[in-house]
Amino acid sequence: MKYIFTLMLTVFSMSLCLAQNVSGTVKDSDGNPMAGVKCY
Amino acid sequence: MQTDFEGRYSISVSGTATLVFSYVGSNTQEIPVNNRTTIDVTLGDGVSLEEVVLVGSRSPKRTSLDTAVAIDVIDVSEVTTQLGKVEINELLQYAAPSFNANKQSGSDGADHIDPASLRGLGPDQTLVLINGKRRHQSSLINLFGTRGRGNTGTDLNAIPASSIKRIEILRDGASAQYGSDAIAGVINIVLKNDTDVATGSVNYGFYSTNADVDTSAFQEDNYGLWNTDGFFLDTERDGNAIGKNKNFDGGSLKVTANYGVKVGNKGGYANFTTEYLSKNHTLRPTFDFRKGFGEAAIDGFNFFGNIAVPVSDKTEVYAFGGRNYRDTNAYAFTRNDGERVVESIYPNGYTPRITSIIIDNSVVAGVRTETASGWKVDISNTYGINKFNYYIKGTLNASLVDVSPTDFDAGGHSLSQNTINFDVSKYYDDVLSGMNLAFGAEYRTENFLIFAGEEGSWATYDINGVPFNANTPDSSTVNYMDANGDLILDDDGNAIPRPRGSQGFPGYAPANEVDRSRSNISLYADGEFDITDAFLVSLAARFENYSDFGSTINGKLAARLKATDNINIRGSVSTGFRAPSLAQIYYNLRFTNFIGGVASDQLLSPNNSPVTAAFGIGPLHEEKAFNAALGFTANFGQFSATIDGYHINVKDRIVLTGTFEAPDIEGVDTAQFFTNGVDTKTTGLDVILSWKANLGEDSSFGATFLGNFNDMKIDKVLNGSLDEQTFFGERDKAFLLASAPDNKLSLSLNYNKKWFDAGLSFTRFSEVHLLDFQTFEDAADYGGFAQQIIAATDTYGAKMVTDLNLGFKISDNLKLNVGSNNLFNVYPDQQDDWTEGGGYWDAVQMGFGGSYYYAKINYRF
Repeated sequence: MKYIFTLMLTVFSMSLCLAQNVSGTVKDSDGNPMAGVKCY
Repeated sequence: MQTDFEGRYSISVSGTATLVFSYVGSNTQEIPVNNRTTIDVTLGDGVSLEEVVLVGSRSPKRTSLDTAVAIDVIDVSEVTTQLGKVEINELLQYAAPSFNANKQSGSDGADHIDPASLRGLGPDQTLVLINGKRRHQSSLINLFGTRGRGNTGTDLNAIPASSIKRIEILRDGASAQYGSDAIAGVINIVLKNDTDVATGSVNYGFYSTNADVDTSAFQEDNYGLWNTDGFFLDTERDGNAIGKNKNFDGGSLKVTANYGVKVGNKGGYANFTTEYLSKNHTLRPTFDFRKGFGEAAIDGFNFFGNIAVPVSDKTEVYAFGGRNYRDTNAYAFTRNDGERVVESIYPNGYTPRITSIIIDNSVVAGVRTETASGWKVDISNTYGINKFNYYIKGTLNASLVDVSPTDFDAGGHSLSQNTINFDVSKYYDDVLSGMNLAFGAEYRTENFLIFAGEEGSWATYDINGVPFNANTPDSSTVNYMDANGDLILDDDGNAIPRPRGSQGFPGYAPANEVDRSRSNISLYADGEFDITDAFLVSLAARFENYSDFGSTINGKLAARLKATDNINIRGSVSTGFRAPSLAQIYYNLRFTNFIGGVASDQLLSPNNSPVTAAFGIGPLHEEKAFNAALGFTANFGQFSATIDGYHINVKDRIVLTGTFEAPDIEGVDTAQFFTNGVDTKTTGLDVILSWKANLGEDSSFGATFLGNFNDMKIDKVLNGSLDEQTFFGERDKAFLLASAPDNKLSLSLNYNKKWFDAGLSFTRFSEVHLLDFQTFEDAADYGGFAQQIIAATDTYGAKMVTDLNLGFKISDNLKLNVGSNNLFNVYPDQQDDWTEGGGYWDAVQMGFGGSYYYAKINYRF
C-alpha cells in the first residue's frame, strides 16, 4: 500500500500547486444574475 | 463552488483548465480558461439534469463531484457508441474500477446469468436500482465453483444497454438509505427519456479460436486435443462428432432501436427500446470429458419503456419496465461411455446441452408531486419476476435405456418481488447553507417457486418402465449391460445401476417443489446538512422488519469538506445488512437412491428442514456489515482525480457448505446446506485519474486511469462442531477470495476529431489463485494435506488486455465503429485437466474467449 499512499500524496500536492485565480459573473439568457450555479 | 446572489464566482484553477458551469434546468457550459483571469458566462435554458446524481443522496442539488461518498457516473450512450461491448456486464467491467463479471462454463445455470460483483464481494451484496427503484433479483442460485457460489445476484444483462442514459455506481455501503443488499455498493440505472430522435445500432462481432495451448502432455488418444485443429466439436449435431475446423466462432449479432415521443406539452415523454441479440457458442481447447467447453449461445429479445406524463405543473405520473426473453444453450460434461451412455442412442457417447428459457418482466408505476409547502412526494409500486426454465437436450434418462427420449423439460424456478414505496423530501435553501430532509416507508413481498420438470427428467425407472418407489423390489433395478445382455460389474463384482433423470442436469422432482413467500416493511429518514458552503454532513437511519428473520436497524454518517475550491475530502461510516434470499432458505435438491427397496437421500437440505437442524445449523439470519471509507476528489477542469479507500467487515456471510455424511439420520446418505458460515474483512482503494485536453477547435484528447486494489481476508469460519474442511474448505475459500483480482488497473486513451475518434485501453488483472478438483482426491496420494493443496493450486499469473476502437462519422446520421476487445488474444495461464470448468483454464481475469473483433453501425435520425 506504500506506493498507493505515495501516489495519493503526489496527486494531492500537484492539485494544490497548479492553481490560478479566475473570477466573473454568471447570468441567464435574460441578463439576470444567477445564484447557486455550480462552477468547477 | 457556487455563484452568489449577484451571480459572481471566484475559483482557483490552472491556466489551461476548462471551467464547467452547471445549474439544474440549464444547459451546462464548458469554457477553457486560456490563462484569462475574468470570464463572464451566460447560461441558456435547458432540460439537461445530467449532473444531478440520483443515488447515494436524496438531495436534488447534489452532483457526483460534491457528494460525500464515491459515485461514478457512466454515460452509457457515449460508451456504447464508442465500444464493441454488447452487454451491460461488459460495459461496467470496462468502466468501473472494482466491477468484475465473467462468462462461466460448466456450472449449470451460472453459464446463462453472469455472476457480477463490486469490490470482490458477493453478487448479491450490490443493490441494483432502475430510476432509483429497487430491481428484483434473479431466481438462480449459483451452486457450482463459480464466483459467488451460494449467492443469488441481479441479472444485469436482462436490461437493454440501449435503453440506458447513464449508470451511477455508488461505491459505498448504503443499507441505511436503501435497505438490504447495499453492502458493496449500489448500481442505479437511469433510463433514457429522449424524444423525437431515433437512435440505435447494428453490431456484429466474433472471437478468434486461436488459443495457444501446449497440448503435448495430453496427446494420447487425442485426450487433450478437443477444439484444436481437426478436433472441433460439431455444434450442428448432438453427440460427439467432429465438425469443421474454425478460425472464428461465437459470432454475435445485436440490433438495437430506441425512439421517444413527446406526451403533452409539459415535458412528458414516452421512450421505447427494443434489442435483439443472437450469439453463438464458443469452443476452446479442452479434454475429451468436456468437449463442449466454451461460452453459452444466447438468443434474446429485450423490450423496455420509460414514460412520464405531467398532469399538472407540479404532478407527474410515470411508469417504466420491460420484458426480457432469452433462450440460452450451454454444454454439460461429456458422457463418453459407461452406465450413463446408451449405445443404441449415442454409439460414441454424447455431450448433453443445458438450455434454458429465461423470462424477466418488470413494471414500475408511480406518481410524483410537490406540495404547496415544497415537500416532494413520490408514491410507487414496483413489480418484477424472473423465471428460469431448464430444458435438457441431446441427453437421455439412462434408466429408460433404448426407449429414452433425448430432450426433457427439467423444471425450474422463479422469483417475484413487489415493492411499494412512499418517499417524501424537501430541500431548504434558507437553513444553514442548505439542508435536505427525506423520509419514507417501503413494503415488499417476495415469492420463490421451484416447479418440477417432466417425469423422465428426474425419475429412476425400473425394468418395467415404472418409476421407482418404496415398494419396488431391488431385483427390478435397470442395470448396466453389454450388447449381449450380460451384466457389466464394478471392481467389487457388483451390478451397476443405470442412473436416473436427464443426464447433464437432472430435473426438479415434485418432492423439490417449493412455493414460499415473505414480506418486509421498512422506515427510513435521512438528512443532508450543508453546515457551511464547504462542509456537508449527511445522516441516515433505516429500520427493517422481515417476516422470517426479524428486525434490523442501520445507520450512516458521511461528511465532505471542501479543502479548497477544487479539492474535496470525504468520508463515511455505516452499518449494513443483507437479508438471506428466499432461494438460500428454501432451495433444495434431492437425489434418491433405492437400496434393497429402501429410499436413501443425498440432499441439498433446505434451511427449514429437520435434517439441517440435526447438524446444528440454525435458521438463516441476515449478513451484517460495517463500512468505513475515506477519500478525496480533486478537480481542475481538465484534470480530475478521485481516490477512495474502503474497509468492509461482513459478519455471518451465507455460504453453501460441502457435503457431510449422515450416518445417524434415517433415510439420508449425505447432506449439505446454506448457513451463516463465514466472516470476511475487505480493505481496498479505488483510484480514478482523468485528464482531458482540447487540441484545437474540433479535436480533443483524453486519458483515464482506473485502479482498484482489493484485499479480502477470511476472518472466521463459523463451523461450530462440524469439520471445517467439509464445512468451508480450502477450495471454497479460494473461490471466495478469487471473486476479484487483488488489483485491476486500466489506462484508456481517447482521441476525438469531428469525423473520427480512436480509443485504446489497457487493462491489467493481477494474479489469481484457485484450487482445482484435486482437493477431492485422497490426501495420502499426495503425501499429506499440505502437499495436496500445493498440487491443487492453480495459479493464474497477471495479464494485460488491450482494446482498440476506431470510429468514423460517415454522415450526421451514421457512424461506423470497428475494433477489437483483447486485441492481442490474451488467455489466462494454462492449467492441467483438473479445472472446475473442465477446460485448460477457468473463467478468471478477462475470461477465456480470446480476441473479439467487431464492426458496428450507429444511427441517429
